[in-house]
Amino acid sequence: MKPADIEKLIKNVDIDTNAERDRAVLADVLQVLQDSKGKEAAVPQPNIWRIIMKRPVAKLVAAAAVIIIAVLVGINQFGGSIDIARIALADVEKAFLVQPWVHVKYDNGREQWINLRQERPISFLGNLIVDEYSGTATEFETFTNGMLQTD
Amino acid sequence: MIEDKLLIWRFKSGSSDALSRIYGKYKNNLLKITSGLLNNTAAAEDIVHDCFVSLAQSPEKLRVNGNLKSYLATCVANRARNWNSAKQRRETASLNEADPAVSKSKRPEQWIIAGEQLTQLNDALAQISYEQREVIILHLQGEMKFRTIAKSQNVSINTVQSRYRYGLEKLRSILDSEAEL
Repeated sequence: MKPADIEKLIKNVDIDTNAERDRAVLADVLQVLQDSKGKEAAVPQPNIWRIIMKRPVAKLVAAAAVIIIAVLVGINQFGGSIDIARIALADVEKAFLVQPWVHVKYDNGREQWINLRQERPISFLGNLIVDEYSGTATEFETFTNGMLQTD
Repeated sequence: MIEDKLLIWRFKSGSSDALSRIYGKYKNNLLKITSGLLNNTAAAEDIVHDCFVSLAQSPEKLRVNGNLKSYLATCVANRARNWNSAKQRRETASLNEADPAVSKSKRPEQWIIAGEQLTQLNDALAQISYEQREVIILHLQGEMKFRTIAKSQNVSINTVQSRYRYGLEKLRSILDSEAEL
């Protein structure tokens, strides 16, 4: 017998299992999964501050908001109008909502992008992009200058 | 591979269907690996069962970009190694006692239904060193690369390749001598 034949034999040797026992073990394993789900929150809640601050644009908006508030408080202190502050904060909110996508990092390490307008989560699994609503996955090749879709 | 990534992702999201699919896809392979490592069907069945239970208990341990087959093969291999070490300790402690764990008789609720070819192969594998057996089985049945095996065994890749080569050679001479009889 050649070494290649032994390799082939080890690779291809068959094994069969008792179907009843298969079902019993699977039921046991699924029960453990259900029990473990009960111990944790079903969906991890993202840290809102982290969501906001993950986007560079959001950081700029937040910094701008702090400066604007500081200036408006100063104006108000020296006899300015409070209506200007209301308008400025509305602008900040509007500027934030212009950004459709936010990157969410959960405490369990999972990451995904969420569209604020459609609440449509997209996950990246290596070179796969998964649309969690439709359940479809698309493969992408990543390049330094962006992503290119491959069929 | 893509299917595995989706399965991991769905399983980590709490899908029991994904866990069922992982179980159905890999249970036979894991039972084959473990029974080959230990040549003891009862222990092999317990180890594979425990491995799936452990997976169900902590989905967060599974990395989305990892290789699912290698992860599960490493899981059963680590448990089989521990079982084998414990068995050796038991044998050292009581040399005159017959080992109650080694059993080849059919049990009423046996999970593995081993054919003649598998039994013959496992008997031959049991005659080579555990280290050589582990490398051969993980490489051929677990489809793990030598580099990955070296990392899991904490040895150099050259050591793993030597174990594979010498183990396969020894296995060849065992199977050839059995064929001559």
